[in-house]
Amino acid sequence: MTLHRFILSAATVFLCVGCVEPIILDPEEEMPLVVNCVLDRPYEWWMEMDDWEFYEGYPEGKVVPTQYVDLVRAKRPSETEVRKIDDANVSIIDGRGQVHEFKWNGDRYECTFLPRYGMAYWLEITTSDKKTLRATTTFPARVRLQSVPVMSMGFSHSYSRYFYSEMLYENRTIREIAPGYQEISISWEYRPFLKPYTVWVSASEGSDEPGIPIMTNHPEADGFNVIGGDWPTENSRSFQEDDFYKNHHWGGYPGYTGQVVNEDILDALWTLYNDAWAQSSAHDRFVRIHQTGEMPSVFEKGTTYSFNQRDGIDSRMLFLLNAEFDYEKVIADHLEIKYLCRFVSDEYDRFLRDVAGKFLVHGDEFASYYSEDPVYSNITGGKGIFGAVSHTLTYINWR
Amino acid sequence: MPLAASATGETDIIKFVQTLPGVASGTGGGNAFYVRGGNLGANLQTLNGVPVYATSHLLGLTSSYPLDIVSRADFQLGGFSSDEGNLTASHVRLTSKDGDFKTLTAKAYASNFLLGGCVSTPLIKDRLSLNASLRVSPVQFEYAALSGLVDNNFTFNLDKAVAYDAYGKLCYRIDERQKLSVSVFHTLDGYKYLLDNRSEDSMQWWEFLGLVQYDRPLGGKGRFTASASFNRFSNSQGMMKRLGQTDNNLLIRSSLSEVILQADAVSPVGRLWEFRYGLKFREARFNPGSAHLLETDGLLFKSSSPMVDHLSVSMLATVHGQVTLGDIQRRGLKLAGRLNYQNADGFAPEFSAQGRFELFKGFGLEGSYDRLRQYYHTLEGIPLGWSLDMLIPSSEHFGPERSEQLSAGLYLDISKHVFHVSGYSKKMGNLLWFTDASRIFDSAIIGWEQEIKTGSGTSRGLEVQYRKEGKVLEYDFAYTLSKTDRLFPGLNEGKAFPAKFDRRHIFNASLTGHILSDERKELSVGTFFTYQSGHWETVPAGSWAQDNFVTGPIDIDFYTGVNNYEMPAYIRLDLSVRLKLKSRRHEQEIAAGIYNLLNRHNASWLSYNASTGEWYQVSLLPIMPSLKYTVSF
Repeated sequence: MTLHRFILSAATVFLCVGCVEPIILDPEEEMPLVVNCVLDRPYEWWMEMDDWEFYEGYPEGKVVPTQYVDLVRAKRPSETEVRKIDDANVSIIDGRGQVHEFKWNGDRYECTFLPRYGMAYWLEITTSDKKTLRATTTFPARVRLQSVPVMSMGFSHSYSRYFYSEMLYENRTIREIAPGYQEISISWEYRPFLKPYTVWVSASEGSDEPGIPIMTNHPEADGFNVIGGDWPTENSRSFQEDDFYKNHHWGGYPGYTGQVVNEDILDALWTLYNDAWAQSSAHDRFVRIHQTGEMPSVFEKGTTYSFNQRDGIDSRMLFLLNAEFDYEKVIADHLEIKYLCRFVSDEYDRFLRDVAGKFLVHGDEFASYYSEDPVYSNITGGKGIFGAVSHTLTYINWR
Repeated sequence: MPLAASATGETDIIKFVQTLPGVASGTGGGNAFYVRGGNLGANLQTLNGVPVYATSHLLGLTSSYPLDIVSRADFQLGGFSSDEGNLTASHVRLTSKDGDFKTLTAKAYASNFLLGGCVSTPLIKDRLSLNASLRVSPVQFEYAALSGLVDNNFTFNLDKAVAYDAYGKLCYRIDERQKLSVSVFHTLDGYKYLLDNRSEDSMQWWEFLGLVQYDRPLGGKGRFTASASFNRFSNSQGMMKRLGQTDNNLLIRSSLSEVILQADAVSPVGRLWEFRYGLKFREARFNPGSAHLLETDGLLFKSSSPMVDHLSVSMLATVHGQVTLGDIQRRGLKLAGRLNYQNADGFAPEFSAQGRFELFKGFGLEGSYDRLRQYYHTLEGIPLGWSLDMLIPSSEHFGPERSEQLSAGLYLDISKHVFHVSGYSKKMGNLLWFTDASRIFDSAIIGWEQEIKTGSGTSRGLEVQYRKEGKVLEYDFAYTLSKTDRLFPGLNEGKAFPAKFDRRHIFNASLTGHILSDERKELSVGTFFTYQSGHWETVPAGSWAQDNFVTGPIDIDFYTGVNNYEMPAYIRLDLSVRLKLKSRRHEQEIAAGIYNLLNRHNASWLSYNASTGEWYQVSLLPIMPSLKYTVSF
């Protein structure tokens, strides 16, 4: 930006000369066809921390979602709108051979069906002038991220969560071992069908729109959108020192009322918590985590593993997520905290990674320096993306 | 040189070089030039054998050295002599004048861009002389005066501007034959500008070089020269930006310090043979893209020790030798060789040959062959020919740039008419592609090593020149037809693409008429016309809108390749007139001209406005008057 503005400004003012004029760059060749289709299975499962209770569940009723396909012709640099193609034959074939035919609804192509976890899908489009576009994708495997609060002692409404993937979860017990101090034990067995997955996690308070910087210490978090940030240590510490925090009647998990927490134990746990953040990174609105699915070494012999909040965490299994919530506003307005996890197919992940990278540098730039690295496309015969995404949502309510 | 107008009013050797066959200009009327498909950094400019890196003032609009200090300028683009090394495209060799040993002469002048003066005087008659020059730009005052007349749509304010160059040479005649000279050259450009209320940006480049040289004859017509030089070049970009409550003061500097020791002897033997041999040792310390804290908001930066450092040392030792048989202007052959040793590259030879064979009077064949190596690379940001490019040494990671070229043709030299036509073929290797050239004004430049790709290039062309000298009328026509490609694995899907300045056709025509010449007055008029095919830019061929949960609605561009769009042709017509008035005591000269008489908006770059979704072409220099007044004593 600095370069652009200097040159234009220098040319126009510094030398009192120079000129900026619009120019038409349209090429002569025909523009390619562009497909956009992302199979969606939204909000299959959610988990909620509400006051002292923990809930999980499924949306009421089985809603069969509608899938959409957008088919347009790319626009030339001088054009303002793409041209929608409304006379093509569009169908998606699943791994069992079932064909889902799409119909034009006036704006795009649609078909109602529920994608299945782990199933492959083939997209085929034939236009009226006999051009064929094809693509394939695999719906993500069924993976849920579960979480436990960072500190249940006296502060059950921790907005930082320890997350772990569901197939490691087996059993959870809670035990009060000291006044104001609960121990959460989780034991599980390694399930051999542990699959790699890629998840994009975002956080929001009181709305569905992601926008808050999100922080994690997951070792496989993608650093492409790391931004600066000096929390949550500061946030945690300032909150810890707040009178409200010290004098609040602490329940537990489950609820416990009465005494003020033991401050020595509190300090020890804060240290563990803050140390866990030492390797963390803050990300702009999303954190992309690509879990390779390699079996953690602790499970090599198929043993169980216990997590004990007093003794700390094993970062191979658990990772922290936190976000720059406005705590005062959340508490005052009783806003919901949400962590939205989107599990994406490999093709869609690669596409998102490319557009996210371009989004970071998009803006006024000299043409010579435009990146010519193309955004990933898995469409044969055209451009665009055919991908898949499934969602899980974790709610945290402050009452 | 022919009479020519320029945007700054200054006559410039590089502007003349840009009119020669085989040479393509950069953009915007700047001093960038590209010879036979090579990059800008493949051209070497030397002053008395010492490389000059800060070669231009302002946005590359004029050279950083005045013509008044130059006694001789040679431009070589093939058939290099043995003492010419560490280049792969061309050599602009400048030799400075000695001071006058008998009488004092002085000159003062003012042009669009520079105020200057020079003096040549004996300090001890016939023994010690001084030649000195100083030029200073009043650009800050000009900006202040003119900016009030222009509607500034940008939040831009030029806060400070400094540009000057200074040269001094002491020449001592040890005796009738031996000479010792000490010369220094210093140039500086610095600009500080405010882009908005939050940021203050600066850029600066400067060079200081000092040379001690000893000359003496050798045998009959031979000579021996030994010299020692020190050269320090630095360019910097400073950024003072307030983000929230925090001041971020960052300085990015690229610097080069080098010491060169060389000795060179030329020994003619008989009428036909000439031998040349010598040694050269160069130690260069490069520190490209080092990051510092900017500790002052003065124009001349004061900064902390580097926070990020890329210091590396390159040592280059060269033994060279050359044999010339016959007269290279008529019938002769020159063979030159260099054996280099560089600390990262080891031993490597270079070879050049040049020959001319007169078939019959005034007509003959000529040709050259060169196999060259260059032990540093220039990461070019903007092709203006200004001195903000990064110089990096060749290393184990980025080997020396290489070129191999062959040219052959014929010449016709009859009376005052000279005609040349030749073809050339050139291969280049270890070329660097700087993927992040846009970030050259960004702190991300500190990580430049991650943004380099290595590749190769080819260039082929046909060069034609017709020149007529005369007391009344002289003209020069030059035409080049060429094609230059680049190939970088990992770019453009591994396919070759046009070099940025692959200008297919270049036609230059200059005409100078000496209308009047007597003891009192001289009047000359000149005109210059150039047509050059457009250079290449990388632009999206189209786009579509896509909505996703990460970015929201976004326009996605697609490209058909690197350098896929040919810009409109560069066309310019200049007109100039020079009037010289002579009297017994002094001489006055008024040179006036109109640069870009056609007022053609020659596009330098393309720019994209994300908010309007429109593309724009940016032109720098429309029609501009130029004026220079000189008085000599």
